[in-house]
Amino acid sequence: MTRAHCSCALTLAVAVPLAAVAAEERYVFDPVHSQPMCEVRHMGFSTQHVSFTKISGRVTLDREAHKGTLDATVDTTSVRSYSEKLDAHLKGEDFFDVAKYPTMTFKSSDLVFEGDRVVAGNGELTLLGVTKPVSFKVSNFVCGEQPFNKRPMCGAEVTATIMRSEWGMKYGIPKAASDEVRIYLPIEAFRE
Amino acid sequence: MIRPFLLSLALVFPLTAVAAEESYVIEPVHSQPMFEVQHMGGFSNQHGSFGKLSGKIILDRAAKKGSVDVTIDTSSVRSFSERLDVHLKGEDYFDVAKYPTMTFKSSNLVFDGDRLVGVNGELTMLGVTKPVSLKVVNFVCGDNPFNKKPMCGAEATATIMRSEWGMKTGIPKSSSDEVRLTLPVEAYRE
Repeated sequence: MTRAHCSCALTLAVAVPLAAVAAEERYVFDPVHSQPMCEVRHMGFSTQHVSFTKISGRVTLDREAHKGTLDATVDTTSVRSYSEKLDAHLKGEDFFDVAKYPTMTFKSSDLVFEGDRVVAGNGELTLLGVTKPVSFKVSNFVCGEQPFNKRPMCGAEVTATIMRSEWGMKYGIPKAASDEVRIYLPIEAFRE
Repeated sequence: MIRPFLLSLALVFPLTAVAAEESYVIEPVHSQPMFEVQHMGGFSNQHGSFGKLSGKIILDRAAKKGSVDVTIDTSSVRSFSERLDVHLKGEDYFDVAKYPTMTFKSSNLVFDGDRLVGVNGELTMLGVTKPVSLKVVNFVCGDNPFNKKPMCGAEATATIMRSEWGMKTGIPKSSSDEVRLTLPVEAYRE
């Protein structure tokens, strides 16, 4: 009786390799430490920064198969610049039109690995209702334990450059603010 | 009688030397300093900034000299978290009750031709004064495209070890000793 049970278990282990299922790791963004920033040239004289303080996101990683996904949603009403007056303008129709588009999303199902580290990716940004491809670099990808609560987590820096006019955000180009926007997203995400 | 006298004056006080010194007032809205630290040993880089500052820049591009004098309101510190902002203003970090300002002063500007490329000065923070060298890129002067006022703009960067000023909380488990500074500057000619 015992031997039959053993062979049954063995068959199952071969048919449904536990290693493949265990290889997909799921992570949830820590929103406080994953606030995206963007940077534009101001009147050709200096570089100015703007951030978004509300984001939610998930990452899946299969480091053996070298595959992964990234899915982030940013609350556009959480835009915050260096000036309250500018914040009001950014939320309006000239820029993020938050009344009509309260969120923007970034999704990728094509993360690029070097060994078991993510180094880049290709995805799509949906902003002002327009979806366009964006390629991004990932630096300083590292996984480990949070030093205080010991929870497993990963961290990285994601960077990309876009031309905002491609999404229809044309106001102020080029006199007030550049078309080119450099995006910077620190990510800290905890394993589910 | 007057003409030779005036001529002598012109020789003794060459007007070109006086005219070469340009004085600029920093426009605070577009000159908000930012800082970046590594969080929890390097999982990510986190940013903060200061929303209130004032300052003056003097440039003598012919003589390749100048000065910078900036005062930052430490209670204007702002990070990615209001809870952290409270902590940053406290004794563990900027101790704003005791040190409501920090300053950066320099009288050693570095030029490449008539472009500013470096500023060597001193940062006074938490009552401690130490040297800091800024790298300056994208230095450009021209007219504001809207109001046509003459102005200059640039980006300055520097890296400091905050512990040198006595700000040791959280190193290294929480946040790095190394702090990267990014300083956009826009300033209008007086």
